[in-house]
Amino acid sequence: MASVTFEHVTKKFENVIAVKDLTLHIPDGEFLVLVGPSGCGKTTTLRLLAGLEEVTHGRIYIGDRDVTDIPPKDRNVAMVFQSYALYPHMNVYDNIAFGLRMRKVPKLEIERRVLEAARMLEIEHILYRRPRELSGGQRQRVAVARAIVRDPAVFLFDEPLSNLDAKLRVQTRAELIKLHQRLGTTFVYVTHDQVEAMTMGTRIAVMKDGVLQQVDTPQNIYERPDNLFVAGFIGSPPMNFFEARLMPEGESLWVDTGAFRVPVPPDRVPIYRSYVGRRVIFGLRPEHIYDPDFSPPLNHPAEVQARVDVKELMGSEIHLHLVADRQTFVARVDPRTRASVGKTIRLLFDMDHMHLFDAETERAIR
Amino acid sequence: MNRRDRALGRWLLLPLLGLLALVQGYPIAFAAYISFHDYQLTALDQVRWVGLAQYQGLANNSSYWNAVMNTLIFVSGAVTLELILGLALALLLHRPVPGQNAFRAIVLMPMFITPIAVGLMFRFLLNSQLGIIPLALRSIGVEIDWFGPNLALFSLILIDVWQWTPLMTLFLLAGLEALPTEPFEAARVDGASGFQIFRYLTLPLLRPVILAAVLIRMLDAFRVFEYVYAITRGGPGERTETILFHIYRVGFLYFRLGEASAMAFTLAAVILILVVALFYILRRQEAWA
Repeated sequence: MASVTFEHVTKKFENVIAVKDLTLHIPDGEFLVLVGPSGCGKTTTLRLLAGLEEVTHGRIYIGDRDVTDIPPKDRNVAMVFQSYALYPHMNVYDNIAFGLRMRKVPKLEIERRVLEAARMLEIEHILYRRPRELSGGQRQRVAVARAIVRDPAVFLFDEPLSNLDAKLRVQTRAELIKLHQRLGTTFVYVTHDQVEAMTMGTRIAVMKDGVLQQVDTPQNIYERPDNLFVAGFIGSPPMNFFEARLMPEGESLWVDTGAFRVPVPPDRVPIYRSYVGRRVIFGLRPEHIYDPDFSPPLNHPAEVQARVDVKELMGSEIHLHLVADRQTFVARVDPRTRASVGKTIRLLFDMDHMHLFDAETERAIR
Repeated sequence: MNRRDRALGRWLLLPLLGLLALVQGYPIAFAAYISFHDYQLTALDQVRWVGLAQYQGLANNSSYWNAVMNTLIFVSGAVTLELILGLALALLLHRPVPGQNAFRAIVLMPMFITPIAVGLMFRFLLNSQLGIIPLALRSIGVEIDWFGPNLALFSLILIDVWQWTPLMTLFLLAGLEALPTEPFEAARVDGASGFQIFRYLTLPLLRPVILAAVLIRMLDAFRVFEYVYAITRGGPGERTETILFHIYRVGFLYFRLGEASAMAFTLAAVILILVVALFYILRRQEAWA
């Protein structure tokens, strides 16, 4: 068990900077999820930690040990690959035992640990099959078993669920969370799926274009995104954004998008006052827009009129795609809503959950 | 496809079948025919049926067995060396190095030379009086008679290795490049050293390619003729008499075509077994992928 530290780590491939000046500390036992769109550098970050890529600048520590120049085999990390990367010519038992054999662990000890890992992942009945005879879910379990049998200091996961079907993915997600609780070892988990990030991580690190955007707990990432990218990336459907200006009116402050005007809650007025007259981006999540008929009591509601463009029934909720003037946005409303396509309806914005971003720096205004 | 189409299809096959019968079927059948006869070009009026006598005669024919042994030594020696060198070269060329395409092109060059020219080249290069290689060796005090009775067959093996290691490299390189990269990365993280990865991953994963490459090279090496013809003509004595050269000698120098045909059929049987094995491996390889 060990912590992981990246210190000003940069990785260049030819002319591309894959990871740029990454500094990140992962405490011992944390489940850290690296999330971001494809090409954001998250997988490269993981491979740098595994030692499969060499850093261009900076240092990497596992525990107190500087592993920057140490080959992968001596880093005491285990990795689960996206493609599982099982050894195709070996049966499941040999796949799991491989790492231990390479380290010259005694035979009986190997057998004990392989069987224990197999039992934990419920793959005892397939120990003597070859990888090609296994289903995707079984292969995934073998890959995880191969990692845990080594009892490494850090587990690395590179999009391990992306090749599973939707149902199995949800199930395996829960199992990996349980596994982390049981082992208590540091997990570093790469995914492009923000739902996985939200549900699995102790903390989430959001990356974009090789740059770390924000590291925080799932709740903080969701409620207090540092910038426009994080706000738009986490959450489904994503946060609505409106280009706007802040207009003062006596003591109060209004967000004017051109299509509608909504008031800033009084407690936020002092924070935003310096942005009066400047270009800002107003953000509000779809679940903070209500059909007035089914709205809970709101402290600072703001009324907005919009025309329903598309209505998507999701079962427990309805997604309304709305148009107000030239602005389009999405609302997640109660399924009992009477809104129908083509009609202009009244909506309530819960302004206590509003977000405001500087249009130039794209950073959250706080 | 209806019945008429199928009938038409059969008719359309006829010209090709006719051609094959003419250029392959007839010669094979005729060779089989003469292998059951005492058929000598010098005595065509005395051709007579001898049944399996030609084949039975081979059992006690020491020249034949000598040629078989020489061929086996040549094939196993050459292919083994080619495999070892080819694998080493393929592993070296597999890793990305600057100018790797140029490297690969240079390494592959020898196999584009016609074998008879290679034979002539080495006949001069290794000649104990005028060859540049013995000359160079002599300057450092080493005296080697490359085509003397002890070394001649080994020299032919070396020439074959020089010419055909590139082909082996080409096969193995293609095999290496077709291997998935992830298991190798997994093994690195799993704690395997470079040698362990080679021993437990590269070699077993490459096994089907190695088998196919070895068989293809064996098939080819069995047919060795040009080097013998260009350099030693089977000598000294019968030290480098290979099976194909022996068949050539008996058939076209001694005109005993019946006996030569019988020997050719024994060679064909060996080659047929190798070809069947090759197809079996290739099919299994497809099932793997």
